[in-house]
Amino acid sequence: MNKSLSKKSSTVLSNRANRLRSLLASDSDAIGQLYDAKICNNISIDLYNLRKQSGLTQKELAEKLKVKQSNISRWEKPGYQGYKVKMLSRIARVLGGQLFISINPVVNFQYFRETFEMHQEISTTTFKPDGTWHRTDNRLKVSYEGVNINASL
Amino acid sequence: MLPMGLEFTVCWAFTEDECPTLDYLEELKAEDVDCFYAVVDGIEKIQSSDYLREPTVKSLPINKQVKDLFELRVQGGSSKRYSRIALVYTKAREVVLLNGITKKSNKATKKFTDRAVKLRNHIKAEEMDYEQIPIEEIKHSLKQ
Repeated sequence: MNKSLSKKSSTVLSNRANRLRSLLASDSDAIGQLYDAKICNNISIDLYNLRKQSGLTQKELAEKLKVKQSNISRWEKPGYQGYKVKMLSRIARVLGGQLFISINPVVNFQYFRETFEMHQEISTTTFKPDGTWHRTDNRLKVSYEGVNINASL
Repeated sequence: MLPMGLEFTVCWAFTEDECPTLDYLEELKAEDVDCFYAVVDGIEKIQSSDYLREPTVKSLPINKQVKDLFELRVQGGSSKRYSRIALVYTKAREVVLLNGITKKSNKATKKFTDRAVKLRNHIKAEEMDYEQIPIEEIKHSLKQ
């Protein structure tokens, strides 16, 4: 058998790609779940990188936090989901970092741009290259993925 | 260690009858949905060399002859088990996913590593196909 690398096509998915698509499509909120997974994975990777940068071993960090080394090991494994905000903040502090948590409405400028173009409302809305927008009536009111966003300009 | 910022193409090894990693993901989704999504995110991440290192990817030590086998390791969401996907690099800056397993302990089973070595040998000998599955494109199609 010869090696063949089928490069992706922008329109036709292979049988295997369709299998993966079906797996994801069977969940109504697959994109949301992927996003949640990404956040948890990023936390573990950030913790690992920050500890490495600070030059501490898992054992040394565990001693500073008065927890077991196995806890540190678990928190640094991608996929872990049981973080407590207070502990994350403590770890960040001990490692010389800072924890930021922010919950905001989803703002996807590309989505807005495409939607407005679709509805031909672009004439009253100007999107700037840096992602900000301006609308002549000084008020932007849109609904994106179920979240209502009202913005005064 | 790989330099940061390099792009890799993630490919999936397959034969006419099976795609071991995809078969595994189908099983995983039925067992542990959270872990499934964490693995899919992991697969997306390893398109960048920034993540082709610990803690996302670790070397899978087999023996002195096989030193180029690695694994993507993700902790299960609710089941507290580890999901592992064996992978190998090619010279064309590709990461080929070989097979997967869910394991309770840190140690990989012989069955898993033997299969990974066998698939790795097929890939190296150009006796097995592999293809890219465009996850970004799939995600985009789901949004529509």
